[in-house]
Amino acid sequence: MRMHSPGPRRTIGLTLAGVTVSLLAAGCVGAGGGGGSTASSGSSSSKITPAVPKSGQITLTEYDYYTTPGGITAMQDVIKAFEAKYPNVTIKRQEVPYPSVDKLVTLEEAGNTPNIVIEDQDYLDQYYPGLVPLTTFFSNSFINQFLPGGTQSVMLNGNKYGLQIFGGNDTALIYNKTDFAAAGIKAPPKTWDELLADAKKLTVPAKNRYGFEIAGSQAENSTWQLEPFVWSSGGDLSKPTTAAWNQSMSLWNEMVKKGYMPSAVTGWDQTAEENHFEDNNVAMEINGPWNVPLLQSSKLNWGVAPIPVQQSGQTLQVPVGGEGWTIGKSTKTKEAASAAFLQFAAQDRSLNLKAVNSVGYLPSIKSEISGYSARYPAYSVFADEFQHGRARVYGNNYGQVSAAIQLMIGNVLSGKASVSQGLSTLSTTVSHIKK
Amino acid sequence: MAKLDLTTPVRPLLRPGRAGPSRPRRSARRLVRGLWSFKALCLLPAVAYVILLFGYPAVFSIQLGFYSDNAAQFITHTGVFVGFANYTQLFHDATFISALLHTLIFAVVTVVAQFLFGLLIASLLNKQGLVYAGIRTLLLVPWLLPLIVSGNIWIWMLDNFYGVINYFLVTLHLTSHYVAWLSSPNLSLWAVIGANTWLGIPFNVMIIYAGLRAIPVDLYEAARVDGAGPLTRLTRITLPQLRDVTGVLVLLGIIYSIKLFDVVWVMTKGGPANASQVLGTLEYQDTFELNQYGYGAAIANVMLVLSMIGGIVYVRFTRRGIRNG
Repeated sequence: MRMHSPGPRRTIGLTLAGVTVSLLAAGCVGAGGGGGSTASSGSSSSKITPAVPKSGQITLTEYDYYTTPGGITAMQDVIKAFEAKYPNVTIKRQEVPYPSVDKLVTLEEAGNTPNIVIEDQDYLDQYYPGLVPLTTFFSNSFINQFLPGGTQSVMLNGNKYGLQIFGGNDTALIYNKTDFAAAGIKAPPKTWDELLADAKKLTVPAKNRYGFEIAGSQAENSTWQLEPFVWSSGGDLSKPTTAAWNQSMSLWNEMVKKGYMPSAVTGWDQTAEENHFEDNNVAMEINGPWNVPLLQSSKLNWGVAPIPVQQSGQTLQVPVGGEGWTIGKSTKTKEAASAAFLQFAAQDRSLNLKAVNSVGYLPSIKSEISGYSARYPAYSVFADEFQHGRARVYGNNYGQVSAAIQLMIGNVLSGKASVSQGLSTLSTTVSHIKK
Repeated sequence: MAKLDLTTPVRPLLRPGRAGPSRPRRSARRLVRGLWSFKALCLLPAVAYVILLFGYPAVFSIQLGFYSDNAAQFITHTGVFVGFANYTQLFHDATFISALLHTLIFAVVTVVAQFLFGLLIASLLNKQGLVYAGIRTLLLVPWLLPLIVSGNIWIWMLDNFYGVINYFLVTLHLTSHYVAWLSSPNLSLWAVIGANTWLGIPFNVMIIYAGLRAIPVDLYEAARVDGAGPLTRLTRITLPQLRDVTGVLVLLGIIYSIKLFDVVWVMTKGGPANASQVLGTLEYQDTFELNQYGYGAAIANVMLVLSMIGGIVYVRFTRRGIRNG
């Protein structure tokens, strides 16, 4: 069942001479498409043991976007260690700069799915047809070594496809300690009221300095930054008209309307946001752990705090970002060997911890995350939040829901719509998207 | 890409009556037949090139526009034929309608602004001498820069906080506060139009300059003798004489605007809140970010039709130009 069956391809003959007339005819050729086998549930009883063949040379292809110096070293180290343990296996690494999902889709369509695929979990609904569910190889006890937020992020149609072996990421409140001292603020805000009050104190119009910022550009970053606000106050993606949504958006809107947050955030991605924080234009930002090395090399006196919740006592829920390590469909031998590689990369704990840190992420393995804060204090807040990280999932259509949320954020923060107008439009859109 | 033009030198030989009256008719006919197959053979690479690299993708895109494909369906070949459903949805999609409108605004404003600035600069530089030649060369620089570079330079110049444009506006007391050029839904489209106009001016200057050089100087001298002022000379001599050049610039400008993607993508990605969304960026987002391949292809096909209308007008226009010339 798992073997890739090619199915009737939509062939367009090369006889295109009579272009215009044949167009519609060509359109009809592919009508009988239903053949290809989609991913079957691998949760059946017959497990395949992750294993490398005892004899014979075998070459596995591996696909990832770890293109930072730290990421390259981490990946190369793991591959080297695996090849040293199993000399008859060669892993051919292919690193593709992010965004790499289009290339992966093309490879899968052509029947050339890499054996080990490491790709952004946000796009799983695009590339899952070329993958084998993890439960084909791994027991639940193995999978449950990982934090649920990460594993659920790489899950679709009830199938677990990937593990965050090099860890994942989240967001927190990063603040400027110098500005806090100057404004007489002793501790970072814990609730929304404190956040608003502190943002007001930190805003210095004469110096063109703002109290707070988010990344509000029309991309996943804006939805991803709104989610901790909505989720922690009890909101859910499927019902955008609830109080949690209204209050979260009202908070952001108030920040802009009162001039504590620059209205320009609607054009900023997380890089632009970070630049404005590091240039001391803004005193507090929501951003991720990948900025820690940048902040460490800057001259700022900075700190990290959990994202404030609406009322004290509420549990902060941050979204989980990162990428799943998945197994591409191929021969049984290669699939089993790929599974063995995943197992190896997760089980060598010291190698794994080093890799997670050099990528600039947070470990997804439960036994690693608990000691991570002590080992790398700069990441401690991110790591603590990460244990309660939540997956961004909406059936197969998270991307469409997120796009609608991004549009709503832009409309509200730029004053094109009120909070209630924006949310009611969003609600209509979301109600038409299949969960 | 070099244009393969076989018609001009071959044409006389294709008319046996005129080709060589002294030769016997039979051998002439054979020669002609031979030439036809030779001509076809010569055309083959070009035809194959066009079919493979333009025809196939175009046909595939048109076909895809009738399917439900998203990425997962695309991989598994399970896309379903949906007829015109993508197109029906398209014209009920407020984002698409506004992107279409933005594209039209973009086309009209950039084409007019680029032409006017081009004409002004070309007229000022329409003089002999090393200095003018030097300035004309320098003018090409914006056009030579990779778009990702010039786009990013514009992002920096338009930045609220440290943008040089806001700096001058505030220093010269033209505005009291920094303007959010790229983040304000009322301004982002205009900011991108401004940047794109700047990018296109050098090309316009060069073409108009060539057009100006081609106007016989005696026309102006004769007009001056007859007592025509500068305005009359502009409206009665320069503009009518530039008619062909103008037509080419306008049509090319419109075609470029319809397929516009890069400037907008680099500067605003169509945001905020779709305020600068044009057909090109919307098509990219729907296809490669929301993985709605069928729907994205439908947008691409609308763009194709619009460009083809422009293209047909262009070809007609240049043909008429050649005939007139």
